[in-house]
Amino acid sequence: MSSHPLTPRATGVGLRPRHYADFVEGRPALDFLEVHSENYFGAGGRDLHVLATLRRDYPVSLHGVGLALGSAAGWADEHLARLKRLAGVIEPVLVSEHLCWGGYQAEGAARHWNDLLPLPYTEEALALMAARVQQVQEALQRRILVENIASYVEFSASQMGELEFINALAQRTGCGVLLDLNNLYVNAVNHGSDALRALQGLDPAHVGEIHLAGHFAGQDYLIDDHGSRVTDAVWRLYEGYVAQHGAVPTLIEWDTDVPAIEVLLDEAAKARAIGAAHG
Amino acid sequence: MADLAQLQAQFSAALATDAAPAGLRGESGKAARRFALYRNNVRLARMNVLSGVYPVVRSIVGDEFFDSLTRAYAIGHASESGDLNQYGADFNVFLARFAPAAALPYLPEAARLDWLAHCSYYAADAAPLDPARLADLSEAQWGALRLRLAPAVTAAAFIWPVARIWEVNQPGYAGEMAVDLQPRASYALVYRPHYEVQVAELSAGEHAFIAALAAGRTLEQALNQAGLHAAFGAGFDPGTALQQALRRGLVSDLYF
Repeated sequence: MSSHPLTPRATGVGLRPRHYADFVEGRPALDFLEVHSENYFGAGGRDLHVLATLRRDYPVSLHGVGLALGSAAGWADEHLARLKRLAGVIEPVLVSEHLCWGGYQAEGAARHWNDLLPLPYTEEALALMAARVQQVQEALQRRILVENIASYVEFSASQMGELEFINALAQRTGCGVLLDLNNLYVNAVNHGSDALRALQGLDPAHVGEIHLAGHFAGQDYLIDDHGSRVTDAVWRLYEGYVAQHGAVPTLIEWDTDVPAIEVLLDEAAKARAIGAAHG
Repeated sequence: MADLAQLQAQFSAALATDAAPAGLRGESGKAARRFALYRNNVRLARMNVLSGVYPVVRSIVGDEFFDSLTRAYAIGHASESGDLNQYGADFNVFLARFAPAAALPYLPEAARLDWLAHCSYYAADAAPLDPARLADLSEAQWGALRLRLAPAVTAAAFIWPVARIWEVNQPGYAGEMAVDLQPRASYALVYRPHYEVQVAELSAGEHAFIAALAAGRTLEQALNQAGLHAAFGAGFDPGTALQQALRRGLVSDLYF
């Protein structure tokens, strides 16, 4: 079981149940796999068994969607405890979560929207996020990465951009950044902002991983449904970033209408080629 | 964190209703339309999870009615965990009270069995007991012997023929489709050989036997209880019941 850190040119894909057999039987050549942590929170069963089996041959990145780090109410220590347990079993090469909130309080009990809801980018939110990231890093005894999210609304209260915010979070806590270029692009379209300009607010030294995925185009907005190939615009962002700052471990995500494994491997090969040409 | 807490509380309140929260940037009509995407995402995510957890209910009612059931549940039932796989535990209770489903009185029990299967799927692993360990026991040890069931094993009682309903609603089932949909006492075993959840119908005696083992009775007590239950219905053969439990991998350990 490898415990070496990923090389900058490492390329991986998200592991989804549809591809369990492809991985167990074929062991396609990839540098790492990533899973949604919560899908492996069970005490046992098939998913955990497959993941533990594949872990012998692949470094695994645990990508959480449910800690809801920026929730003012409804924080659940139990969720962190389950993540800690999973991390103990899988010994992940990376652990990541999102720059978002999702928990709330109702009728005196913790509730959850199970969605990646945007934060106002304020000092107050930064202080809360920093405290939570530190809590997670202390519990797991490791550095985590925090990912920029796709969003459909912005708050008037925001005092800075999302990447400035995440950059400040990394400075304050020592966490890394999981730079999702698809989310960055989706936000640029949704909010009429400039993705390249937004990137200037992020110190590339913090970036520990890049996510690439497809999005769905609505009437006048984009949704990061991870249901198609990476678009040309996002590939251009990726190529530009890698050419300027060097290669970064890169992951292809696909969550809706998951295609045959060959399609994911093809996308991963494309990312690898860009890393090799510019990294 | 007064401002942040207030902003999130307003956002949550708006997600639960048809309004948009205050404090969004941009033109209000557009912001409200965008905000509605979140409300929709939350519902769809819940509905997707229920679709995965309740395949037998979905098969019974068809996709269209299932969507209306899960939409109604999703709107009325908050999630209590950041792990959406925990969502929907009381879907059976909802179905029992949901008037449009009243014509299908067995639906809540079918849902309960779906949930038990879901829990079995994620239960802790346990290797089946090696039957050779029983061969070495002394007479006295047999009297005190208790069998530990694997965590993925559950036996449950129903008032509708739910195990049979489960069987005919499995993908790829090609046998006799007719189900006698009359209320009757029925018993189902949920277990998980090789990580695949299985459901089997049990007799009253077999159910009493498994339930007694689960409750920590000695094997002798469990077999006696099963015999008493079986007296009211079909016969119960202790030797067969024990062998079948071992063959199905229900037993993970022995203790005294």
